[in-house]
Amino acid sequence: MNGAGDPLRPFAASSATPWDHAAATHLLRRAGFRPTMQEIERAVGAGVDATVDRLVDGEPEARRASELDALGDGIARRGELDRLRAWWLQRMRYTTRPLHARLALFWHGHFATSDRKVKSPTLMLAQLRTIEAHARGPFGAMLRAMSRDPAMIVWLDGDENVRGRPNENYARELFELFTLGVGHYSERDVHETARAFTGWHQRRGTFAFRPRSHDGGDKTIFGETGPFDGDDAVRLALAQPAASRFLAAKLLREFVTPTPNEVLVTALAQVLWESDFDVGATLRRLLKSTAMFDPAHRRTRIPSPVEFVVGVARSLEIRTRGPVLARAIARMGQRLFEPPSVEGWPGHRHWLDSTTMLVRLNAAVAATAPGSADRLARRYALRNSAAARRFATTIALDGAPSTALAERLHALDGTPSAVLASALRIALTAPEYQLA
Amino acid sequence: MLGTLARAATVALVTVATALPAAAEGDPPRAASFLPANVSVAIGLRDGDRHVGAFRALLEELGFEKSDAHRAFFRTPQILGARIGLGLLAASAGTDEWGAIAAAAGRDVAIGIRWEQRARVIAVLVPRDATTVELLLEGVTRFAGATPDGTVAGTDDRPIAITSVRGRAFVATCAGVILVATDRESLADAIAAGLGRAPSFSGSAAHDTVENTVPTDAAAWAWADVATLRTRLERAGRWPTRIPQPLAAFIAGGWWHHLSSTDRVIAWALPTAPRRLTVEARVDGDAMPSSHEGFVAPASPDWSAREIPGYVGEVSVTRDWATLLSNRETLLDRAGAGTLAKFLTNAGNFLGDVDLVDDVLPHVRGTTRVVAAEQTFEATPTPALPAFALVTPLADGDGRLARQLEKAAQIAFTFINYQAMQQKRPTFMMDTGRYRDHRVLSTFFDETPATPPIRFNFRPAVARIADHYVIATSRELLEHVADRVLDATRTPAPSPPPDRLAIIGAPVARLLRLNREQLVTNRMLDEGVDRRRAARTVDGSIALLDFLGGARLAATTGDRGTRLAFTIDLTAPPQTPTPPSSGSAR
Amino acid sequence: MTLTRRDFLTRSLAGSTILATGATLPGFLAHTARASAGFGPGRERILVVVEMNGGNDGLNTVIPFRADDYYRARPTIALPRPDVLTLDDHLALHPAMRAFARLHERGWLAVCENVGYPNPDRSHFRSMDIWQSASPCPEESRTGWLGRAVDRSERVDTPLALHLDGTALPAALRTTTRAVPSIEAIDAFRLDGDADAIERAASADRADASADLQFVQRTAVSSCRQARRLAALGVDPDAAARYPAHGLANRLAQIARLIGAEFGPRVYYTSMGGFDTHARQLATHASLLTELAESIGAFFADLEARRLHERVVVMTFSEFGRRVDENGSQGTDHGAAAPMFVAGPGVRGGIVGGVPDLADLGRGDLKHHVDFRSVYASVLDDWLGIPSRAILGASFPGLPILRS
Repeated sequence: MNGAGDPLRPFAASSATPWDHAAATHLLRRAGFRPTMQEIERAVGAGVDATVDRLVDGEPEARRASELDALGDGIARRGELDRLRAWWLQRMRYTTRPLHARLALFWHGHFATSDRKVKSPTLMLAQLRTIEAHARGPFGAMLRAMSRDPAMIVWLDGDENVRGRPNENYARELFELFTLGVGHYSERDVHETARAFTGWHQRRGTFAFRPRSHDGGDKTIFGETGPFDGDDAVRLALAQPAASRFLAAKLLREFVTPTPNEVLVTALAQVLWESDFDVGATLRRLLKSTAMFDPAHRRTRIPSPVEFVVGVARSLEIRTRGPVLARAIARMGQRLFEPPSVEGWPGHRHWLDSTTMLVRLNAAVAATAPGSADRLARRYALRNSAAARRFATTIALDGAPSTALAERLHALDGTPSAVLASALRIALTAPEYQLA
Repeated sequence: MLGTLARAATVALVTVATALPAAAEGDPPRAASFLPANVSVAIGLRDGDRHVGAFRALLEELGFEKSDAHRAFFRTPQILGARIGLGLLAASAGTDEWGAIAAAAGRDVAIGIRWEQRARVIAVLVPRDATTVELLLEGVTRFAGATPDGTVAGTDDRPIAITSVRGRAFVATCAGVILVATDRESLADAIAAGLGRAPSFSGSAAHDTVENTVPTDAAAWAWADVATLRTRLERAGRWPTRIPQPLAAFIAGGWWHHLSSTDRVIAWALPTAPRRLTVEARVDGDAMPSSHEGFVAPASPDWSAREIPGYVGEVSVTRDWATLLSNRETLLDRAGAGTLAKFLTNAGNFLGDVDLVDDVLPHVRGTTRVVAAEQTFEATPTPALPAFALVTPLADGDGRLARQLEKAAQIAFTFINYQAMQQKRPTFMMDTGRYRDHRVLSTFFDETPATPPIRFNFRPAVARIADHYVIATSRELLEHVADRVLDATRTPAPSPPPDRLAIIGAPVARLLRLNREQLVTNRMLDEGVDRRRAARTVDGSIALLDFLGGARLAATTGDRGTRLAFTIDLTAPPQTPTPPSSGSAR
Repeated sequence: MTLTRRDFLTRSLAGSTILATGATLPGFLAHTARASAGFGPGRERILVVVEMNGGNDGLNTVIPFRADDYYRARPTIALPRPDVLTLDDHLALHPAMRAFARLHERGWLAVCENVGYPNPDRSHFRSMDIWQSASPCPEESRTGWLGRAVDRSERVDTPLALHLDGTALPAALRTTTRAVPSIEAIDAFRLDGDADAIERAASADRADASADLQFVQRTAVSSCRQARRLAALGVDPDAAARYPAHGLANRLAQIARLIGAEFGPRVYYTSMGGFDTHARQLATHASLLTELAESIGAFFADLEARRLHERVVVMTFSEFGRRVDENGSQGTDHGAAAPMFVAGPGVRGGIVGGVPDLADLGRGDLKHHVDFRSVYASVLDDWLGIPSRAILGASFPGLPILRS
């Protein structure tokens, strides 16, 4: 895929798709959370390349976020899962590395380990740390680390997997959910791979290889035969053509469109393959691409409750109470560290029904209380109602409200902060706001 | 929660005062005479200015302004801003901040509240230093944006001008008395009452009762027309006839009966010693029906729990439990009776052949106490909690019941162990031994991790000590309790009030300091503030506790009434408070 | 499938005059409104599941009062023959269940006797998982039986099932697609903003609205209408007076309000605990059964006053029954088979599954003669109209307990 037809060719601003506030907001939202006005202005000034590089490489972490980061171990040690959830949410709220936070969330859904079975906040935290360490690196290294991750071992019965009585749970999910997808492996591959992982146990929360439980014999996986172990199985899985397509489609659904087409999947799979599954490099290419900014891809994704709530708080610069966030998000159908099944959260339209929508509307109403508008109006020196309206539409409606909303916004009158409060409420409770 | 505690304590500090004799100068008007007769709540403050002065001196003596508490709660940007405003205002009246507060507290203050669609409040101030107060008032009204709002008739055909502060407050001066109300009509009513044109609270029978009940040296008093308030709440369906939760019903059912049948509650505050404020309240109601007889019971003689090392506080209640339980169908609603039945079954699972209601409770007579004390740890768990002991008198001549209860405890510990084992958590080892010639069943963990979780606060022990049954969460506390109980049997102490609640500041502060990191963490997460701010609030709250010598509540329930006495003692903090390292990570 | 497809329409258009004003309707709503013509509100059947947590003593709930073996096995806790409320010649209800006896007299109570599953497990957790997943190997089942019904539903805008309890979501409601909402109380459905304004903004026609945007619009409109219907319904003091002061009654009262507001779910799930009666069970069990029977009795009285009763069926279950012989503490230990109740005007009243045979026990427990999945199958096929085979993974013979 080269030339003008390549959907991953670098984005070039044109009169049809300019690099403007809307485009910058779209990028920041997809590769992070809903941005503040300051972030939007900064991105518009810096351009696509610099903004994407900054997102992918990450800026020095904010003091608030570093302070929070240091609290995790103590909370986990005390076994406080609810607080650990609040802790993760507050880190997302205050981090200066939104893409890294989004990636951690993405991989948490990908590897979908639940404390309901693991029953150890310490192990859940350790897994999150592992995810964070590998989130932008080579996918192979992440898979090798996750194969040794104690929470994962508990979650998918690794300790039961011993020579002579292989337990196929991990091997099956490794192929079905982590690398290839259904239909790209045989039952024999699963069985032989389970043998390769025998003896990969955990003891008291640390990975422990048990040579005596390990089956050192020859296995045949994807047609190759040898005395393979778990790392070999990971290597062999990633060598399958389906692997790059599987991951490409998943990354596209997360960052570009819930319905990626063949051309796009093939193109991104190619990038993954050529970079040896380097997630960071692949994302850098993807986020700078024409496909990323294709108008047909904008406002097509229903964000998860975590993205929604954290995004609202970040973009309106609201001080957040962790447990309140966690409760609202739970009512919207998402509990961190407790994905509903090994398949993670199904996402997109599955997030919304009339009851979860109601919770989102209430969150929007709460976030647009006069106090928040007051602070914003002062911080951004909004001097008249036109400025307040412009601020609200830029930050919440990509500067392009539908006719129905535009009429209501136009009718607003009063002090800048009162207009801003009403405008934000109209925008945040509008259906458009649910699409990112 | 800490914040609330801190705020409550601050309010308490602000209300505390030391003794000062009231001085009679001439014959100034009484503030209460300006309250209309139909107020539902009336509050009075006597010689407020002198109490403010004494309070200021006390704060200085205790070193409050140099404390973390002051730093946390009185040097926030908002408070500093308000203080600058107050300072400017005071200067314009030729005084300072404290002078302004004292002037506003006046010689005599009365506040009346009436409830109709909303609460309507009237405040009456009889100043001692009228000039300063008028200057202050002028400053405040000008600053707040006051506008003239007509007049009402005064004495000698001289109209009294009314000032409206943005329609939210209405102010007038009448015969040297300053009146503030939340609505214009209330202000007019107050003037009418003060000038004798309408019935006044000071001329009512209610006021006579207040005068006859409240000691002359009280610094403040309050009276509430409970009958009217209750009728209002009853109509809204918000005054339950019975308390729904069983334990709460058994604790408070007697008070609830009095509160449900009384006309009024009267309370007053008076400084009873240097650094001590006592608040007393009286509720007189109908005689207890026979179903409620279990609420009136004599306290057993004290065994001075407060001498237990590291004594944190206690909750003590005296009830005739057997009588209460046998009237449970009357005292509880159906849901409550159901909850109780389920509890009794669970207890039955452990007690085997012994029935709690039939076999145990008839032998419990006197005061049941739950005492908390600091405990020592090999390795301090997070969070670190105090040890608790439940001590109940148990007339058990041959010790048969105690043996049954010990067996029940063993079954309970085994059950806990079973659950712990399933969750791969550490389990108890059980041990029977003796202490001062009494049999003790105690537990311990077979191994203690370096950073133990919360359950390591609990290593329960049970014993029967001289007609008392003791369940403690540590053997250490059980032994301390045994010492006190055994010593008291030799020299019985006088009977204290039947119901008591006590808390001592210093040990609580020490406990909170042990848990400081967790408190700071929680505050950072729960409030979304940074470490510096979280630490400042936490350290401030802990420092505030250092000033609390003790807070005690005692209740005496008689057949026809309940008397409550609340005492708060202030103290200077320990000489070398450990300076908390605020702002840095662990 | 047509049934589920019209779910959205009956919900979001319930009681509105939208068809009459079709000309001014935004396209996406008008289209669906026409498609739904003929399916008015108030047609859908509703199932309310009441979980009795802890293992209910079935033998002391539905009592084989003719069986001497019963009185021999339970010398201190058997219910005396003169006290029980007879259902037929062999079986009777616990004396505390007068409200159920009244349902029985009206033919509104189906008692499924001897319900269980092969190789009964006596662990609360595992047995509950088996009941909730409807799978003999709950470890392998990622979803609950009701969750699978939700997963297979084509309903898009309102949830098919709702958990109203204040406990964690039960395994029965675990899904792989959208999560089943779990709330403590009805307050969760209050809309804090101006529902009218939000709905107007949501329903206004957008030029070139994408399918996703239309989906969000529809969902938002449903949300606002639900919230408004619920607010408009308010708290009816008469309805509240129909309920006794029990926790279960309180939850059922809220469920009745949601049904009255045409809130949408076809399955409601709630629970009551405390059935693990190992010692001195007579008083406790009586109070538990009082709560169960009075609450459900009041629920139907309320529904009847609202003229909704014919659409609602209540089904109770517990993870197991209890041992036939009482233990040494005047209680009973974990057992196996037990009765289930299915109640409502929609049931065929009576007893199915036979009389418990106290002479033929397995490890001291009643043997099961009816697989619990047969009861599930009857409720799914005959009441909800959801094909049970796909939900339960196999065909289970239905029972003649419902008027289809």
